[in-house]
Amino acid sequence: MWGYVGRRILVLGPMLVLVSVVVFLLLRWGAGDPALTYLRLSQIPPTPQALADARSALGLDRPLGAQYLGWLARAVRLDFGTSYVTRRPVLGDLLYYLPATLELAGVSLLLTIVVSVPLGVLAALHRESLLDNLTRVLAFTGVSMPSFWLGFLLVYAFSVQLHWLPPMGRGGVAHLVLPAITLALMSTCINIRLLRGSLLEHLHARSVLYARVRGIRERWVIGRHVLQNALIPVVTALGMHIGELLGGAVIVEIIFAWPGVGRYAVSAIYNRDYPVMQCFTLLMTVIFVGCNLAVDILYAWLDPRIRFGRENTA
Amino acid sequence: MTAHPVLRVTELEIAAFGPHGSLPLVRGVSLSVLANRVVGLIGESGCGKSLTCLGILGLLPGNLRRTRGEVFLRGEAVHTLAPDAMRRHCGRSVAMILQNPMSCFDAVHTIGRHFRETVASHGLQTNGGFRDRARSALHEVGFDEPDAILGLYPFQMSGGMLQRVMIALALLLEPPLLIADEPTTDLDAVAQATILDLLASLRKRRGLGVLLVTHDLSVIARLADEVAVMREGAIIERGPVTAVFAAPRESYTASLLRAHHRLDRDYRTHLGAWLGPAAGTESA
Amino acid sequence: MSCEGSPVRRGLLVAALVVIGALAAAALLAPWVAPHDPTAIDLARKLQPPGKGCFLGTDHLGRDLWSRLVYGARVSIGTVVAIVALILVLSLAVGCTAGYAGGWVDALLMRACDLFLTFPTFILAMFLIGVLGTGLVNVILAIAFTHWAWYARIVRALVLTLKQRNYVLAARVAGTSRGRILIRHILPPVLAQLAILATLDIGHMMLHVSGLSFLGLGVQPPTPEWGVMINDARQYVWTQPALILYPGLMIFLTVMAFNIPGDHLRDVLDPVVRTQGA
Repeated sequence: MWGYVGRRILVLGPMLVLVSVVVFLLLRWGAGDPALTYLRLSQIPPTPQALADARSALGLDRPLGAQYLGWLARAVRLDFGTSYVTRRPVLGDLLYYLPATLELAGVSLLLTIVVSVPLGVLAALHRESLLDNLTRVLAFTGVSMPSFWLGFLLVYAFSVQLHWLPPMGRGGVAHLVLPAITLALMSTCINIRLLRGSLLEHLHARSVLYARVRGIRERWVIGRHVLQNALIPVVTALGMHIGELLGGAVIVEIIFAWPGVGRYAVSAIYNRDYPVMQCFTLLMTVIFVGCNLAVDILYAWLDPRIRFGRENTA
Repeated sequence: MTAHPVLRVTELEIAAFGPHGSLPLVRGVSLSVLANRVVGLIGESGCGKSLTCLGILGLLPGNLRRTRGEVFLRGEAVHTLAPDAMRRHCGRSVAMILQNPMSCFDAVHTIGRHFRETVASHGLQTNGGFRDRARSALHEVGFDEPDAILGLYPFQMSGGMLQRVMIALALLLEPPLLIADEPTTDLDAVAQATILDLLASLRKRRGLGVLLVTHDLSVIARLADEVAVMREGAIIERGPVTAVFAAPRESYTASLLRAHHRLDRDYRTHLGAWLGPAAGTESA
Repeated sequence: MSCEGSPVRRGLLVAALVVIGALAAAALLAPWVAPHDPTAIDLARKLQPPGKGCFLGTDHLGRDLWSRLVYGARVSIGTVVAIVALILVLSLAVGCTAGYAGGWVDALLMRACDLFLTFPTFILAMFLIGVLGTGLVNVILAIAFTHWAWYARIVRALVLTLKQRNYVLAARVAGTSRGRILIRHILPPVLAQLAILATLDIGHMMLHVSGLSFLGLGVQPPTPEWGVMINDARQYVWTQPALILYPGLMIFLTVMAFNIPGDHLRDVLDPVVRTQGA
């Protein structure tokens, strides 16, 4: 088990370094001149002298490799530069806004699991019943719904018309309800369909027949043999959900004026605030990678075939 | 011995139900297995042999159902039982071993777990109690280190080993009847021989009644006392093995035997010189 | 959904195909179908309710809502088609090369794929917009570049399987050049599988496109795009929710229309490919 985990971590280190290289290079080769952007955002007229000064201040006159290594040396010390707009350390700003995003994404993930697992199980066990058909219709509908549309519909219904819930901002639990539902909907619906499909497949597995042949109690047949196997693909899909949640959080934060890191990043991208863009992308990627690692560990714990290096048997 | 047969099936019928009506798959099958006797059920793939076995246990899949017939285990009628009541007989009054053992074990659970839940589901003592039963059962099927086996996962073992574990699980609750559905298909020749020898010795030692389902005539010849020939869902011929094989009444049975002998003869022709003079004897 | 062939299901499929047909028609025939110029600003007639001439009313700049929706179909369909085409080209190129060449080329290309797969998709798309700038073309590039890696891996897996097929081995023995084998024997089945997979994903990609546009990072106003229209109408959620309702409804119906046949295709899909997906 720990050998498996160790191997995964060993692969991640170089990959993250590569990610930082790619992000760095893309920014340098991409649109715009950082010096020009810097001057624009500082509201300094871009005279040739000012440009030259800005270039040397930002270290843009050095060779690319040296620039990257300089950046890396600073990054290791957790210095990701200063924002062109706010003039504050980038990492500090991002970490200031990050907890709000993590709260939103975390609650949404919890909501996804708490809603999708029981519904998926019930739908599969009571196939073709009213509950099953209703669940399937709702799940299919939810998968097609744009979150930015749903968010506004919910705001209109529950804030504008009914005055039950606040339309924006972060505060107590009431403020979390609409944003979390908006963010969680897509993942919940995907999960319900996935779990239901997986369960239906495993209900007819040979191992289930063999369990019944041995006279195993029905509760154990469903719980131990069907469910534990059926949950495995759902767990592996968690990683994908986390990616969607991190991305979707950006949109939800804009709709509900949630003071998270996504909202900050969108304005940074609009302003071409390169240090923020760079750090934001890296930060979210590191979080994503970390979550995927946790999911992989959970997966290995659930499925012994992975631990023994025998993926895709059966 | 005039005790009840361990298994008695009368006029069993199984049909598949679909949107356009029902299709009979097993028609009027009657069987009887006495203690310490092996009854073979032979036929080609798709003739309904496995369905008959599942029908006896009341474990038919999805849209298949028993439409007629009676099943008696040790004289007790079980065809009228609800699934939960029937469950108590599965493993206790009748045990079944299936083909392709690798797909039957649950890969996320250890072998030990499989033993524990079998014992616990039938209300027998678990804490450590299952270990003794498991150890003796595994020992009986030829494992010298049962404790090591209990800690393994199914995918860490070979097909032959798993088939033996399956037999051990079947013996765990000391059932009087064993249904063996194609126990040697999917196994290599050496594993096949081991399993057949094991079944023969178990039958003698425990006085088991065995319903042996297979498409392989040599397996029948090796183990069975009586044989029933099944074709398209119905039993067309039955009798003692030697009688049926020596003088089949039905042309279908005769053609099965001919096909088997031809294969056997070709085998001996091509390998005759290599096998040596001892190979000249008839294969049965 | 697994109630195969039920009349409800078949009815939905027909409905979905009709919707897709209507959207395609709207996209192609927009200039003739839309009653007004979607970009014609007329502040005197802003925020009008549905009335004669303006079937659904006007937006905050006096533009006809219905015309903008129709032209929006053109943008959405066109964008998605371009994205799918680009993804197909990229993933085929990389996947076939990696699968067929093998060796260090394969290893290198797969590391590149892994690299792209390390990023969360939407965040990467946002970053690429930051690098490339906003606008329709850049949205197409950004979304294509975030999705191609997943497809490339599948192409590679398919190529590896096909490489071992007997008819390919026979062709090699007969001396056929590698290029010709690739084009005539390997490419067609791979392309077919890939087309099916891409269809499954169209709804998802459409949501990303309109999502980016909603954030102001995609298609820019005044180009009529449904996501942009929702963004424009944000401030009117209290007074004129219809301005948000209709564009969102269009996105919702379009995505659903693509998801329904996608579901049907998924049942047809080779299980090998299916297990390689999410």
